Amino acid sequence: MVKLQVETLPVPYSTIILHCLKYPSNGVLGLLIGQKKGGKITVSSSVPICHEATPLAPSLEIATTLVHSKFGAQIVGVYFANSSANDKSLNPYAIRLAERISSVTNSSAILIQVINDRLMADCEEDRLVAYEKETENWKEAETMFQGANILRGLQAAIQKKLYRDLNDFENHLDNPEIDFYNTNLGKKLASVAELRA
Amino acid sequence: MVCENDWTQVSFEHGRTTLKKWRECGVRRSEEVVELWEHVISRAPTSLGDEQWPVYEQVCIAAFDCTRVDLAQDCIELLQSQFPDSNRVLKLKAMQLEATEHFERALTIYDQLVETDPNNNSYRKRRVAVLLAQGKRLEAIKAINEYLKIFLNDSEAWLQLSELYLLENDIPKAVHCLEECVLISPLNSMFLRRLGDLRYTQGGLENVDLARAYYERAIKINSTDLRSQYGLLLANNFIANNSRNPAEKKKSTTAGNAALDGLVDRYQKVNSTEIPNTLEKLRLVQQPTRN
Repeated sequence: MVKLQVETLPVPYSTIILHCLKYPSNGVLGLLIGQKKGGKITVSSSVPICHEATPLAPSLEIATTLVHSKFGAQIVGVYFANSSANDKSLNPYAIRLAERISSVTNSSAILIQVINDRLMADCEEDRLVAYEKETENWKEAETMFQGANILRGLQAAIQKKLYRDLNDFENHLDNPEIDFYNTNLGKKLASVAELRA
Repeated sequence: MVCENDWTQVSFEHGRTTLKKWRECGVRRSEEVVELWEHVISRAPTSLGDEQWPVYEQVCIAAFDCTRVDLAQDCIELLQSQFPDSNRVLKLKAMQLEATEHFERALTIYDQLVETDPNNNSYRKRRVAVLLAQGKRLEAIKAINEYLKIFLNDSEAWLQLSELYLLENDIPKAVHCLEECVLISPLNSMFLRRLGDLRYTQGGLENVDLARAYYERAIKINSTDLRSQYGLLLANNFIANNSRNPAEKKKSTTAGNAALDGLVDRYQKVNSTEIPNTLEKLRLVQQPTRN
């Protein structure tokens, strides 16, 4: 079978990494927004949800309800990072959320994992690994990585400490004024890192 | 909310009080602590007088968190020369070993510290942290259980244990831990809400009914807690949709919609319209009662 191709555009790519950097001691979880065309998924946006190790049903349910009503079937999957630096296992909470999304959108959702030990500034490898579900097992999909281009932009964003501007849904629950879609951060990323949305 | 994003330009006095505030409430903002130290406080640390020592300790721990081994080493050296025989400094050295992944050597020091000062719980807690860093979750669970036999009213430890049980997919045990937390501080709305979340996650009418009671109590204590308000909405809607008792259905529908009104009101105060519009979809229609 042909592997599914997953491309993450620069802005969601950076947002995911910045989410990890804002909470270096925690795992993080978020939703992926994008389009599916044939054997390819393009992730065009990401919505950071939480940074706790064991997110429980209520907050995830509310977050997915809100995001689903905004983006509908454009929710294509879930991204996550484990809290421990060397832990490369698939997070059961992320899997459960992805399966729930599959049943809501009626199409199989993907998982994207941040490989923690590649978050180091001098690492040139792709920090994200994508998985698709085939029958009962999750297996690796092919990621299309733009390499140096994306990393240079990301470097500029990190230097400007843009991770401090990022907010997830959990921050929103602490203060309803906070915009967890990170509209402003997206704009800043575009100008600072010269990333196109 | 004023969100400060740049600590490089603040005044010395502001930097000092900020560090003090973070130290006292125990918040983990390591990267910002290091930034404050390097750009502001390190200009004149001696002017802090005796306050410089807890600051060095704070900066040292923050530096471990940011893998700034050099900075941590400087702090330890200064503290060491001031307090040559201090267990507190020895603990920092053990943490340094942890940060450089020399776990076994760190454990040896903690064992030694527990022996010389059995009443200080922080060394025992570090031992658990070492196990977690090594990914030995089951051993960590065992160690916290041992710890809680001695320090049974440590809610932080119960909370951590609850989280570990959740990672093992054992919700009933996680619930038990949270119940201990509520017993220790019955007026802490965070514990009540978390217990509500757990019961809701467990599912089934009986559990969701309990969840609802916990959320109600949490809101009574802290009326602005958005999470509990959402929890109350979800729990009531679940009961309204699943209960076979018409009176209960009716009551939950009304209560669910009241919770929703509360949320919409909250959002209107901050001029948000998109979320309340979405929430309206969760509004239930009161079914006419059949006799």
